[in-house]
Amino acid sequence: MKVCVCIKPAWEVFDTYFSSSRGEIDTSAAARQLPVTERLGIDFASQLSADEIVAVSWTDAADESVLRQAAAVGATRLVRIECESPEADRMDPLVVSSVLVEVLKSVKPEMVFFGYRSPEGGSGAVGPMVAAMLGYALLPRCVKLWRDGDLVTFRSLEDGREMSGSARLPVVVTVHPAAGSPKSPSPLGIRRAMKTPLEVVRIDAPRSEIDLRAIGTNEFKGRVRQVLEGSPAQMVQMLRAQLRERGAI
Amino acid sequence: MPIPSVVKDKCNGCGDCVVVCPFFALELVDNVVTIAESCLDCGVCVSACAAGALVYEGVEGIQKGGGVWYLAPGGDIEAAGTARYLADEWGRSAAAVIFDQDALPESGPDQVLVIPGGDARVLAAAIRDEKPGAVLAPDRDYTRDLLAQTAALLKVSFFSGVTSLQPVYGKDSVEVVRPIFLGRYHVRVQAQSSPVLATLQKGALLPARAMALTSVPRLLDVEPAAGPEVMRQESGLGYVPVLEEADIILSGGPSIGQEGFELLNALARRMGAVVAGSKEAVQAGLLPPERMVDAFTGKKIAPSLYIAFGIDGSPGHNAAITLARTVVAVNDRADTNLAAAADFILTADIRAIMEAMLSE
Ligand SMILES: Cc1cc2nc3c(=O)[nH]c(=O)nc-3n(C[C@@H](O)[C@H](O)[C@H](O)COP(=O)(O)OP(=O)(O)OC[C@H]3O[C@@H](n4cnc5c(N)ncnc54)[C@H](O)[C@@H]3O)c2cc1C
Ligand SMILES: Nc1ncnc2c1ncn2[C@@H]1O[C@H](COP(=O)(O)O)[C@@H](O)[C@H]1O
Repeated sequence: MKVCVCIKPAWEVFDTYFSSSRGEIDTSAAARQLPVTERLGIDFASQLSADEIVAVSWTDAADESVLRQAAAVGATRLVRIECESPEADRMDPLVVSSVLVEVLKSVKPEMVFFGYRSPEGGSGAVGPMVAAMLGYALLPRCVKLWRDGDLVTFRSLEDGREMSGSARLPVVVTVHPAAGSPKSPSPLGIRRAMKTPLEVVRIDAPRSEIDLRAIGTNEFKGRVRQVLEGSPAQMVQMLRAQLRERGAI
Repeated sequence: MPIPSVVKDKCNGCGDCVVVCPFFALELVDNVVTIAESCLDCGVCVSACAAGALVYEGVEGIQKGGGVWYLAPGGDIEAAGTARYLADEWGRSAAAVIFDQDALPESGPDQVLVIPGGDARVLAAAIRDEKPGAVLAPDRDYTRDLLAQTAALLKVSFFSGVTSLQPVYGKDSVEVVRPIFLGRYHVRVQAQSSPVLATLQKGALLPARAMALTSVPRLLDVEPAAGPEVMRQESGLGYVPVLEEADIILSGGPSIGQEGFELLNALARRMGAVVAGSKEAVQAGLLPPERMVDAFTGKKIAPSLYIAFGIDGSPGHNAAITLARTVVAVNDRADTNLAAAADFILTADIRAIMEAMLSE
């Protein structure tokens, strides 16, 4: 079975800052990492005894190291997509999906893994969009997977409930972070990663139909630090009123 | 004056339009509606007509299904207020879309459309036929999957987790705000493609005006393209909560003990919250490692509410909660590091506070 894992080299969110003078997110102190959900996707692929695990990423040459990390934990082939596209267009899930689909159509995997949603964008749209474009069955937010021939059985999380189900290959799986802790790379894996073949594919991306107007910050300027006083019951009552007002409950 | 036209073979003679016309311009002749000279083209009849027999020629979006659709699975009308607002601003009608004829919304829309089955291929086919200007839904796992797939089939943009939605004047477009980077920042973007597909979070969900449901649900007869099938059901195993996904986290320190965590669990069930704890609480064996709140775990939590019971606030703990929108510190001491990093501070017997919360 041939499997693809789509990897979005994501910024370490905690190391980014907002530059109000430039109206931009300042990522100069942050690094890109291989997200947990993508690592879990590679683990699933190994566990389902895939013959070939292809890591695919639309990213710049500077972030190739993230693909090498994918090889260290089990990817057997690496594909980096290069395409001329304005920065803002790379944020549009429809553009990202169309670009990935073009590569997936030529690789022809029977199973494609995606992270459920990345820390950066978090619209959780790429996996479902690719499934629709390829006409593959969508198994969303999976935490467990089994395969018997071309029948895939899964457990997944949806709006606070656990679901179970099945579908026939080919499938698109999006991986929920609750699927577990990803395996760490072995010394052998790290050595193998340096030798794993990496192809660069050039594609023309469609233009986004979303206009980016502005980026803003929601960072908290500091806490209110309000001391609530009274009997426990009174405090709880006051707290509830405050939380209601802030829309926290 | 571009008065509506009557599609004679669609008129079922129900008379809904006759009743709603403020200018008494409509009447039924041989069970088919006719429009008199006194029509002032207010369009009320067009949105009242469930059969699609009253249309504006050549004006897409207004005719047929109406301008703004909102998904109301199971009769859930959370997105009704925003749909109504956008429809009013655009001067169009709002329609609720349901997938099951028996799950009628209680109030709100001008029309109810029934799209049997409710998967992305059927929804996309219905949107192609009826050409709504926008399709909105409350932000849920289910609605995000559905609208993302639908958007891909229609090759239009999709906006998920939107916290604000405003019409763009002079254009059939909207401007939305959505969070990025775990809610640390947000982007303001304008949609250039139509229809606009979006799921709405708290800030973008406007209260719905209560309105009696007057029109008859219209069953859309759509022929979906063939596609893969996924069998799914609830496993009945309950939910496995994850901290990264939690909207409300109740967290405890070692001092609250086993009993305290039992109370927290009870409280969490009531509030739909997830229970977590400090590194010290995990080290004391009070909860499993995956429930630890500490920066060194690398786990990113960004709940809208974080309530800490008996947590003093180590630097690692306090660094891990910086993305929480509201932090509440409950402790029997006031001078903790956490109190300095909290929005609300309750200093009292911790157990008494827990019990007061439980008895609310
Ligand atoms: C400045 C800025 C502006 C933004 N503007 C918009 C906007 O206008 N509209 C909007 O909808 N979103 C916007 N976003 C969010 C956007 O970046 C999304 O993250 C992006 O479109 C990916 O979609 P997603 O969130 O659905 O997928 P994600 O949650 O980011 O990723 C899901 C999965 O898809 C796969 N994947 C994603 N990207 C790649 C890739 N490059 N290569 C391989 N696999 C990949 C991975 O498997 C990943 O785990 C913006 C973000 C930023 C920082
Ligand atoms: N959705 C995406 N798809 C592909 N690459 C992306 C995506 N989002 C961000 N990137 C990469 O991240 C770089 C900077 O993006 P940003 O996250 O906006 O700082 C871009 O130059 C891309 O290489």
